[in-house]
Amino acid sequence: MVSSAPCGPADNDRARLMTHPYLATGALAACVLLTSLALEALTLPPAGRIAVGLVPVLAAAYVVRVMARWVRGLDELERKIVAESLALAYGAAILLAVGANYLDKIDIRVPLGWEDGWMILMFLYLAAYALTSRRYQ
Amino acid sequence: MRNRLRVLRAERDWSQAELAERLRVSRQTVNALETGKYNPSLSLAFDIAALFGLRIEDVFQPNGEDG
Repeated sequence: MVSSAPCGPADNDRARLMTHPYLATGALAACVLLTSLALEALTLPPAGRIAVGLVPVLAAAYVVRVMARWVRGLDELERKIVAESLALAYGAAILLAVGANYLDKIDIRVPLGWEDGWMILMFLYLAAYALTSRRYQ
Repeated sequence: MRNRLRVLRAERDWSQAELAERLRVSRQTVNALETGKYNPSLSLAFDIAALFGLRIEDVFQPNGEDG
């Protein structure tokens, strides 16, 4: 016999909270921070370090899943705005990376590395989203 | 592409938010459609026409074609 779990408004609210993209991203940032602190502060065997180090990877995979579901739930114009914003942000990030590479070749050091890429991409996405969103207002 | 969405909505005395709710889209989408900044997908165009009880060509016209 198949029993179904109760699914009332409270369950729906909890599910919405679990799949909110901004909350999931915030949880990922907290997870990365806590993992870094834990790896610095705790003395763990190699297997333990690997297990702790993998936590943010799992959290990131969850964020990707949440984002994919969130984008599928958007209406068609919102989805178009998100897609155009991502295309603009990635294009701009590639241009910046190529520019930084050439500046590096002429001995002008840019104080940014690949590890800063995700942060730059996030700001570029926010700027691109604001620009694209305005086009359709 | 031009459309009569604003006129049809006004005839029914619906707000943009109300139309958006009936079409299950955002109010921004309704506004962008009305101002001609966004052309809907075929699926949404069918939904809009069905909501007003009209054919797609009664709601949307290509640019340069008089209704």
